[in-house]
Amino acid sequence: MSETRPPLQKKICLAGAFGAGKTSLVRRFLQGVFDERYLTTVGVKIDKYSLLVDERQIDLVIWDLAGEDFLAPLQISYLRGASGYLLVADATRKETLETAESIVGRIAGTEGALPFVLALNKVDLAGECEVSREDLDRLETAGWRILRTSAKSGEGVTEAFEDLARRLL
Amino acid sequence: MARLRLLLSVPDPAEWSSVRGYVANPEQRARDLSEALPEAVRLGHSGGKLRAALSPAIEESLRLSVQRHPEVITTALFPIIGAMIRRYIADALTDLQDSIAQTVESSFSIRSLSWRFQAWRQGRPFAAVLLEKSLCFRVEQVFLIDRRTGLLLLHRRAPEVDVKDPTVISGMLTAIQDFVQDSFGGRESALDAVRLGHHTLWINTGPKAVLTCVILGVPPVPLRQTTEQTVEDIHRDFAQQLEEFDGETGPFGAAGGHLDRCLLGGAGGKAGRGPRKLLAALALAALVLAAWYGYRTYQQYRFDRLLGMLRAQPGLASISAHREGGKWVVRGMRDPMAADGSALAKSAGFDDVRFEWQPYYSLDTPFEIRRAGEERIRLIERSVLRYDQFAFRAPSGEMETLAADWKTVLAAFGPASRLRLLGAAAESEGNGLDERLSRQRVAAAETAFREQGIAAETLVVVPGPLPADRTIRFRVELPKQ
Ligand SMILES: Nc1nc2c(ncn2[C@@H]2O[C@H](COP(=O)(O)OP(=O)(O)OP(=O)(O)O)[C@@H](O)[C@H]2O)c(=O)[nH]1
Ligand SMILES: [Mg+2]
Repeated sequence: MSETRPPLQKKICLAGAFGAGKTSLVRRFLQGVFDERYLTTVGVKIDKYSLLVDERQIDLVIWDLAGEDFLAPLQISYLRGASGYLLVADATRKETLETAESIVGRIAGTEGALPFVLALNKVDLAGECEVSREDLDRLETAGWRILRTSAKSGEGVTEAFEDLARRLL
Repeated sequence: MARLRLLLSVPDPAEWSSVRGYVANPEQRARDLSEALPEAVRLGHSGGKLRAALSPAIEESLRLSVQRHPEVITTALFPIIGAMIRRYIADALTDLQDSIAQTVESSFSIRSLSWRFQAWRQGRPFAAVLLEKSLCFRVEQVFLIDRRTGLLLLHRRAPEVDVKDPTVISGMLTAIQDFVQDSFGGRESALDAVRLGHHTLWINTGPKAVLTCVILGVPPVPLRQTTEQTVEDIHRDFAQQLEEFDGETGPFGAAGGHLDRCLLGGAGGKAGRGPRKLLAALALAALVLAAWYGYRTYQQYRFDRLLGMLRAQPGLASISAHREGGKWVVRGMRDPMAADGSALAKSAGFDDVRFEWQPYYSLDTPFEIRRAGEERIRLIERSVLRYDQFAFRAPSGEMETLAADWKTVLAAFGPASRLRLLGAAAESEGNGLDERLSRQRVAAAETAFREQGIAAETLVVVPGPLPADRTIRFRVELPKQ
């Protein structure tokens, strides 16, 4: 019976500052590869990932949104109907954490409190880390789930997506 | 006039001087600005004014950067543009081959000659006419999409049509729709057809679900009725399921019959054009939209640049712009001594900008105006109005000159400048009369100034008995620098 059931579908988004590594995280997660080149996302790129949870197939439809910069704000309307999102910040650029905080506020304002996980990305560049322990502590105290990831080494990538997927169900 | 008065009104002197002090301290300003800027940038997202203000600077630095290190920018842009163009060309080539094959097949028939003539007369490509005449149409795929999430509720296809990933296509369709609605604003602006190459996407948007048909060839108008009817039926039969949809697509399997009703056509239709075509078509749609958006943004950039230049002009302030009947209208305040901006607009390539200026006195007047003002202050302060015994009427010729001088000072130093009229009587005029005469003299002088068009707020009358020589002298007070 359960084999004939169509998969459960969930829309998730990746949001964050430009160049934080959203597209790289998706690529690492889906294809297991990493590219040093930076090809900025225009608009949105959509992928699908299927996973099994309790023998039920879940299709994650992943919307990789163009990053926010000061000429182009995040298009909140792309989050419409999302079940949750992976928020991405760049550990080597402190301001991307501020962008992330601001995005959470804006999403909560239009979509309500969606589940999200913060991927603090590029942790392989440990020497250049700019985000402070205090800031992370403060956000964790506020209830944020924060995972250290690297699209380059693969560290924490699967965990971040799976953690988010668990929060959707 | 009342508004002008308001604009020229005096702030509280203590407040004014603290503001002046602050303005004069560039370090403090820079410090405050650096604190406020990130927030301003964040807030600017909603308004767009900041974007407009920043774009000339960014454009300029981009230009410089392209000039100095072209390879950096080219490397950054090439992968996107290159990939899009390659995809576009590859696709155009496939279409071309198809239409060549078609043409060869039918190029010897009399019919095809008449179609050729028709194409030439209507200014359309021959291939388009061919398709319309010989291939008719075929609905290859039907997507039922949840409007809110963009998730695929159900997908049906015609036999032999090879489909790779309808889930992703469903998402892309929704994203394009979102993009269009955001750009044009409003729900009424939803796309209902996208026509690309040999494919047409027909999009029927219902309140909860969207039915999209991928059609090869040129669909006949009555097909629209079928698809519209189908959306309505689905909304009726699956009202509750649509309302409660949370990723569970099982219940929509029962809508298969509804969707199959739309899989029409096929007479002569070419089978086997798979999702690659559709993906390419969607990519092309995205490209066209991006190009249109880019053009609009470019025009906006140029105009924002003009606004930036206008804002940088001394004597123009609070400039805003909007479109009215396809023309730009710029509103703002203009110092009577400043240029009216139309020459600048012409040189920026905007010929039909309408300017609506309100007069005001600018604080950022150029130096020569200031120098002229200083000169006049010296003249004013050396002037003495002398009165005969018991006389109080102001000598009109001198008043006229003084008023003109004072206007120049106001233009140079702004409406916060003050002219003090210091009245004096003579001892000999006797008990109690001194004060009264002095007051009448300065009052008359003030009236004379006002008759020359000077704002009363800029005048301060100071009657008094000293120096007892039946005169009025003048002192100028400038706003603190
Ligand atoms: N060292 C290191 N570099 C990374 C990592 N993740 C991404 N990058 C690099 O950062 C740059 C930007 O990565 P993208 O994945 O394109 O970033 P994005 O967030 O998708 O950017 P936008 O689409 O413009 O918003 C690329 O040059 C990547 O190679 C990481 O974990 N470690
Ligand atoms: Mg990206």
